[in-house]
Amino acid sequence: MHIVGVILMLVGVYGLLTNRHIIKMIIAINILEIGLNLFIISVGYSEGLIAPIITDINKNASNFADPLPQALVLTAIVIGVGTTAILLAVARKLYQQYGTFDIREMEGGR
Amino acid sequence: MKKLTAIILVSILFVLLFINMFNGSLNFDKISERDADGNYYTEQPTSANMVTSVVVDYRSFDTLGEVTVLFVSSLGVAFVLGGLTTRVKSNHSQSFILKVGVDVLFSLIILVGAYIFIHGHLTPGGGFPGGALIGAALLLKYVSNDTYRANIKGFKALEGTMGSIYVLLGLLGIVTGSFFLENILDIGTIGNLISGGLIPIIYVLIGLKVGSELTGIFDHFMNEEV
Amino acid sequence: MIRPVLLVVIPLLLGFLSVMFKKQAKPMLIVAALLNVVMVFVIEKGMYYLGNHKPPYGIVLNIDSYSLYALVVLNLVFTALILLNLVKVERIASILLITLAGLNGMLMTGDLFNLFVFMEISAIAAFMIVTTNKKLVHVFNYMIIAIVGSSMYLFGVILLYSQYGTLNMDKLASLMGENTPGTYIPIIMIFAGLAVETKLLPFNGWVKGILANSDSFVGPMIGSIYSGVFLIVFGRLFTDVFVLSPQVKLLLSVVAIVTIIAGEFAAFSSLKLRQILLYSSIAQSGLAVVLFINGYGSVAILVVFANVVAKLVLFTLAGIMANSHMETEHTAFENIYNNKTGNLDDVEALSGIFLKNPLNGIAFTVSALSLGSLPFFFGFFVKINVLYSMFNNGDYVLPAIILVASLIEGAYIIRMLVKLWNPGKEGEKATKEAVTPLNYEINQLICMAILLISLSLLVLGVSPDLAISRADEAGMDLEYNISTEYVELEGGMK
Repeated sequence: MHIVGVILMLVGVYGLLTNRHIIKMIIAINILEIGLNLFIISVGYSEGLIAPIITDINKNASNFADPLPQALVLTAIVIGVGTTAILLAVARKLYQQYGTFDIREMEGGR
Repeated sequence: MKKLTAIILVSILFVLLFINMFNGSLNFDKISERDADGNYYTEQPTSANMVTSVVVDYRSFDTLGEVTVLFVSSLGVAFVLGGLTTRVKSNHSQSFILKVGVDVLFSLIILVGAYIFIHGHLTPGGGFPGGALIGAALLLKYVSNDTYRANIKGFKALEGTMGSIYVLLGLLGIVTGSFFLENILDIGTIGNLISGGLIPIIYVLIGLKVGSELTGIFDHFMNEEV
Repeated sequence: MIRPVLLVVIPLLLGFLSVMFKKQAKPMLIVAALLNVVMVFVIEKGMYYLGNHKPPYGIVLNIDSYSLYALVVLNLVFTALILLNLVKVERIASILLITLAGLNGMLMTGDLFNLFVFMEISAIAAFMIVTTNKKLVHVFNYMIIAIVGSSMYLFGVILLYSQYGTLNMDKLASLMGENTPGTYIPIIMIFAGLAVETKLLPFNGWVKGILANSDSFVGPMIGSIYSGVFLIVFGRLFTDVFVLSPQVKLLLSVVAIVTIIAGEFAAFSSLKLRQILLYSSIAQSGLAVVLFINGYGSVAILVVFANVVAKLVLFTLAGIMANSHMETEHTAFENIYNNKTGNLDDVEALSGIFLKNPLNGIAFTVSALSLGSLPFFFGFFVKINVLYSMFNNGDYVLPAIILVASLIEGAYIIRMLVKLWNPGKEGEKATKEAVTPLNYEINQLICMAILLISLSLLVLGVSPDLAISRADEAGMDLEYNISTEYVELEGGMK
């Protein structure tokens, strides 16, 4: 599970390095963040642990999965949403200004 | 050429990380000390869903920060894309069945979203997924109908009010002589709908706030200049 | 007896309210900033448990001399910046309230994940502030690099959590031994994440784009305030919390030293005013980082403080000069510069401009000379302290590098100042005609205020005792980690 998270993060980094289309860069950042969140969740979990919810069946059970990474991931996902929203807004403004989505063309016309 | 260098770079990174992380020097099997030391969080749970009690009670300040992040994002989107007033017209004609279908589904989705954030302390989910569902319902309305505009002023007022109430609830903790964001209401019995003190109230606030913020963001994206 | 959390909460509350009362946003901002300045002098020191949950389960706010020093500087400089730019602030007042809350929170928190959340708040607010820049592509680059950096920071924090089971800074400090294997990667990740904002070398591609085109508000905000806050946070993490093995120290110091040298050389070869300033900022950040890593906490704080105040004045003046509509007196010049009614900061083009505005010239000169560590200015005392503590510790390589860097710095600063005061080419007599015909408008009050701020550097240079004693106190708290006692005494459920 941990390896999958790391692989997704590296896919995101690769996407960020090779793409020059702004929307694809934003998607690559999203993949990076998804990989990171997956990695965080996988930290708190081992074989055989169950969801940390107290119900009639499993009061005071001692094999709850760690709730802390799940709480961290909640926050991290929302932060990712916020940054993606702003990135998309700026991308749209850039398209209006330059007429293209290619970042090389925008930087070249300095 | 560029892709090749990027692939080489990324694979070098992967190999480095793999060697350093998975060769046994970092052991991921070890459960964190919190659990190994006797299940801290379960000994004094404040709500049935322990993740909720971590997010809203123990780490309420983080949640306040997260709510602020969304707030700044929606402020930022409004700032960058501000002042656009007419709806973007889509290229194809609007289908009547789509419109009616969405109108039917709309209330159902809002109901499910509200259910999720009201029961956040009992079942998985909570304020953020619930609010996101409400935002998604409104997005559906926007997409299906070319002339629809939600009541943006109302949503912005809702957003600001909910955020302020959250902070004021935290300040109540200071006023009653204790610390900021203390859970001052009675906890009640775990597992009931009314339990957990401030937790369900805060989740309702967060759910409504997230829903209105996402709606505001969608509205800005769906508009353009004349 | 004010609770320290109010430094964050009151700007946050006013920020939430200001969306509904848009007209009152700017007065709310001014009220919040002034209130923060007042409060920061009366808050109580110690650990503050949020929600009355004892650490390490809850979040703590850690107010010791180190945080207090940084909070005082931050709030004073922020208020000064707002008061200097009252017109520009009007559009983004709500965002600035959130920025104030975020920056204060970063300095106070004692929890790694809380630090991440506040870093994100400040980063997104910075994206919005920078959007007032003209070139959106640079903003986009900055956003991408900052988001990747903060993701790396989070990755490092999670790796540390999986090893040590805690996110609390004090508990982590007591658990971290020196040669534990497997802490290389998290520390390098966290370093990389913070290196983006502190402008260290591999990650500072965004600095040129953002600061070279900044106006008189964005420049000081990003170049002075954000720099200072992130460096202080860096210092706390890498001195108080992490225990670094010598190899890691060497690696990170090399990165910082390369940054210093590259920054100074780039500044030396720049012709534009704001570029010189931003490369000098990069070099100063590198200097502070290398000092923090090698354990010279109290002098590093002084370096940060001197840099923040000096850059505040310098960037403000540079922004005003570069972005106001230049009025020309000769039509000949008008023909050459006719399409550029702003953004003129070629040092050549501005030659002799201080002869027309002597008060601004004095302010600029004082700050620049303090930056270049000339005697009688505050920067000089800072450098002397730095070198003195290093020689005391028997370290000779590092002071040599710092002296070389200071020489280059002094050279370009003096060259810049000479050009700005003396019109005409080198070697020629300064004549009235060679003075640049460009002029700019500046409000009288702003002029006076900037002069006062820069004179403080002169005052501190002559009698630096207050600043140095506070910094020493802060450094002590940083190194001897008094606050761990609280965690061990009170650990456990309530």
